[in-house]
Amino acid sequence: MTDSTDQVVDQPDVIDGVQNDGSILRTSLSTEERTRLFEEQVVPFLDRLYGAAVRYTRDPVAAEDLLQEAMAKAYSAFHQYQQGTNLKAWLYRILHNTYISQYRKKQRRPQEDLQHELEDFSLYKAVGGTTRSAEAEVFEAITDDEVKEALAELPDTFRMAVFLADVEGFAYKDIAEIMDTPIGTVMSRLHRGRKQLQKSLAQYAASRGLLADEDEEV
Amino acid sequence: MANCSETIADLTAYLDGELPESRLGELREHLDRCLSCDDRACFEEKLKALIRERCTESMPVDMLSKIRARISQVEV
Repeated sequence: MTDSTDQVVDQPDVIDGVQNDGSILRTSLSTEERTRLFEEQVVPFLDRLYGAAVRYTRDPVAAEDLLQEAMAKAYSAFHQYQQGTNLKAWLYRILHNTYISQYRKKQRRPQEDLQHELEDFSLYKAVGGTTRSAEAEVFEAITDDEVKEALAELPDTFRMAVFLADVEGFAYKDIAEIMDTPIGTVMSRLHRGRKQLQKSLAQYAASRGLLADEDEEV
Repeated sequence: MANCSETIADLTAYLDGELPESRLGELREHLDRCLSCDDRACFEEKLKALIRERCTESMPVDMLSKIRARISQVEV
């Protein structure tokens, strides 16, 4: 990632603040400039952000609302984005916060946790002494909908951590920033969330006779 | 030289690109020599790729124009 102190900012006319670390913070942008930067820099991320909104809300209609709301916030806060720093993480953080403040509250559900500790479950062990062909058969059989469903079944914080790491490929420290949580918490959510996700995938595979049924396992 | 249990313990961080540089060499060396750990690593890597590939969405065609309309109403 670019070190913010090394950045070159190419619009000196809109710079009016230099921060303590020497990096530059825009405190104002003309409407034209803001719109131009938004089109140039943010629009290319929209497809992925839409996917994120669908995974967050688990509902395509709510996802459209969430994305619109988050992009309105990103647009109005765009002068605070430091050019040269991680824009993708900045945008996901806004999406995340918008979801937390507007959507999760509405659900009025207590913070969910994973119900039980899965001892040491792994799909690898469930596929069991895998031969490459058994493995390929299981991977081949798992559908898009099943992966999405398995993710959707995870409680919010676990789903977000797994999504941000495995689908979006964010580094732990970026996920910690997006979710405003310590890195250790991110790692623990990832560990537990992934185990649960693999458990669901194993159940789909088992229901199709591709794996020995759990109950039959010793 | 890392043993199997150290390698498996480091595998997640490795596949997430989070393993410290100082441990990378040892882990790769072990994977080169140990078929069973290498098999596990390949499986986990493929699973990660599968989750990424099976989880994509396409933005509805009118989404971009909705967003443009929404931000045009934003007062800054």
